[in-house]
Amino acid sequence: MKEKDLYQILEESLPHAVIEEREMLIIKVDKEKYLDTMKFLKDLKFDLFIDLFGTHYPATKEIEVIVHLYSTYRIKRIRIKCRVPEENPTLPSIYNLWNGADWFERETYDMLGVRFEGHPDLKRILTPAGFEDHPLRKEFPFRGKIPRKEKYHPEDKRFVEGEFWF
Amino acid sequence: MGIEIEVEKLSGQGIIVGNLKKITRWARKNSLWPFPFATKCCGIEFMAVVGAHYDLARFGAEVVRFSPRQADLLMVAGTITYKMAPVLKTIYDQICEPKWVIAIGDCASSGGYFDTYSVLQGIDKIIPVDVYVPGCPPTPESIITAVMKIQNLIDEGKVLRSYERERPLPNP
Amino acid sequence: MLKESSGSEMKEGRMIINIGPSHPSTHGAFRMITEIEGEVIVNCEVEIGYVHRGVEKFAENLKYKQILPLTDRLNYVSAIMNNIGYVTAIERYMKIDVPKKAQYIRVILNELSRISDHLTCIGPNVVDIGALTPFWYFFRERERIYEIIEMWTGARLTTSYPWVGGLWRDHPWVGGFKDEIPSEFEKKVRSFLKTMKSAIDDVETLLTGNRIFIERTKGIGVMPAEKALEYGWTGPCLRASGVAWDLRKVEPYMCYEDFDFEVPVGENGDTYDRYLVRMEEMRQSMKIIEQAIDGIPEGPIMTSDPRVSLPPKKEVYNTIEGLIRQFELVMYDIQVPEGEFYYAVEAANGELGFYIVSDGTGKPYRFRIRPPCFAIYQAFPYLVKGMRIADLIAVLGSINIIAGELDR
Repeated sequence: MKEKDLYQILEESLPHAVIEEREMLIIKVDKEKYLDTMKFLKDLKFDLFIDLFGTHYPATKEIEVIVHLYSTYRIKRIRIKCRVPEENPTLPSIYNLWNGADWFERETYDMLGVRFEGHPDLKRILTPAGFEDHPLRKEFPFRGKIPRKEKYHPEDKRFVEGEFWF
Repeated sequence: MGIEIEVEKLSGQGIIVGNLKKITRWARKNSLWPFPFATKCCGIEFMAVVGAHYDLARFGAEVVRFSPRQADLLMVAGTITYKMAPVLKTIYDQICEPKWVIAIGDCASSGGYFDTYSVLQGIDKIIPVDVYVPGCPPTPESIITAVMKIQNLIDEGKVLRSYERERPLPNP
Repeated sequence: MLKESSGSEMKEGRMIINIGPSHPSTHGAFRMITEIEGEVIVNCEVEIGYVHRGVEKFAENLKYKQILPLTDRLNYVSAIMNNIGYVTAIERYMKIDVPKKAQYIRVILNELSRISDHLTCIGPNVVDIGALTPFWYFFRERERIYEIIEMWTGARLTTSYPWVGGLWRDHPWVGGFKDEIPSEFEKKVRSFLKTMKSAIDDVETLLTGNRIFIERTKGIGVMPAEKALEYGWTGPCLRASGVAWDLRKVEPYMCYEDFDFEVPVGENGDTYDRYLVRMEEMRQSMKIIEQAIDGIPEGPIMTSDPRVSLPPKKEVYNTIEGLIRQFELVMYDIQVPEGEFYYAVEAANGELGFYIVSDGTGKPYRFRIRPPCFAIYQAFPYLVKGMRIADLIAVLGSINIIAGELDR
């Protein structure tokens, strides 16, 4: 009963979005309506903020940002997906709606390069300072760009065997 | 144990005469002060070694010091990333001579299971290592064996530092 | 945040203290930069990333079976819970039936890991506050848990034991579960339950009514319930703030609905409540283990679903279908159908979720882990404002940060 209501509520109030249901309700929105959808969902009492991350699809030259929310009143999960273009990706930040989006947005910026407008302090969080690439993009090699030796040879080890006088 | 002592009886007083090097080495090896630099799962095995079941205190290494100026054995347990490497080098430089280094676990010896863009493949690229302990994570008995090997090194009066150096690749 | 305040407008009497990545009371490698005035903390900034190994990027090149050892190096004090989270996510997506015997044994190992995690949280936490004795009692119990886990899975710490469809293999030398003479495993678990009860009772008499402990932990690090939900807190920290939320009761998985247990909920959300919630959760976990070991059913230990399990040897040697199935499963690993899914379990710290996008080949296209500590730790500057440095250490221990899970 309640589930039908929620599905119907979403269908009526978000006509621009594509809604489907698999293991949880999934909403697909465009970049322009992203912030309005989030405000609407916050008023619908989706209070537990679960996750925010992104995936890179080089085939269509897009990055997809995914948000997971949970409602402790209706006991329902929901997933919001939003696609942004690969070059210069930006999205409005939802830090003012849920404070928990803070570090998740910083991590998405670090790993994929998506800039969130309105975030108080967007800087790198997991990679070292001065790291310039975005590791989770598909063209970044998982071994990294620092050159490494291919094989190990027994002559590579150098022993400094010495005595100490005391 | 190897100390040759001669007890000279001088009307009731006992005097021990021995070799200065042997006595100081005996004292040094039985009172090692370890500095645990634990970042990951091998740190939990290190905590189990210091615990009551596998007791490290019976080898004299009971006082676990958290300041590098007060320690002489650096035990690196866990993955070292490129972000953590300068911290490790600073700590190694701050320990006073003589010092020994144990690399516990696969990640500290050679990068281990993680062959990725942010993991340093072995700490012997930045600091010299005396004893390597393999395992993921190693059993506490292996860690105790490593401490005993350090004690043997001290007995012989050696430091055994191994680096990894860049060797020019052969012509293809 | 700190940059603006410390650059040109640094007021008189303020000092910046760096509680660095290598510090005796940080359990893990992370850095806290605190700006203090006298001894009162005005501002605090947190820096993580010292153990970042790139697990999510690495998993895109591995097959599903090779990702299993990666998952149990996330939260390394309770390794089996991460394995079970990963394995139940794939099982729920592919709709595979797991036999009851395997589920009961998984529940026993799961709850033992949860007890081990809470012991590792409370032990060092009270050491930082100043009480050294509970640490020794708890670590003696942890050794007993390690012995039980080693007897069943073969490894102490990083087990990689459950697999899709059940468990790897049965242990005939351990004995049947319905024999008159109880097996080694059952004897060890029952004796563990007795000694654990006396250890918890001892520590409770030492700490729970202790005036010094109460003064040091009551009212410190208070998190109100609405703020906790906004920040994304789950697990015992959320329950200590007053929200009754446990994924074992809300979305039951792995036959938790067969067991009868309660979920403790706190009132104020301070450090004392978090300690009490964890102690009570350990007692409830012991109750679950007792019910599970009393009622293990008979049956196979691995499903016979042809998508994931190897056929019996008779079929492999005698029929052609068995041979083909064995060959495909060994060479090409399990084939997860195309699509995306997200499933979560209740780990010791909160909600551990796995989001996998599969594109039909044997390797995942995107592998995402939702770490519980990440959401909890980002509220740390909010928790410590206006407190002293000694209180900061007490709060840090009570929210149970594991650096491997934070940085992945």
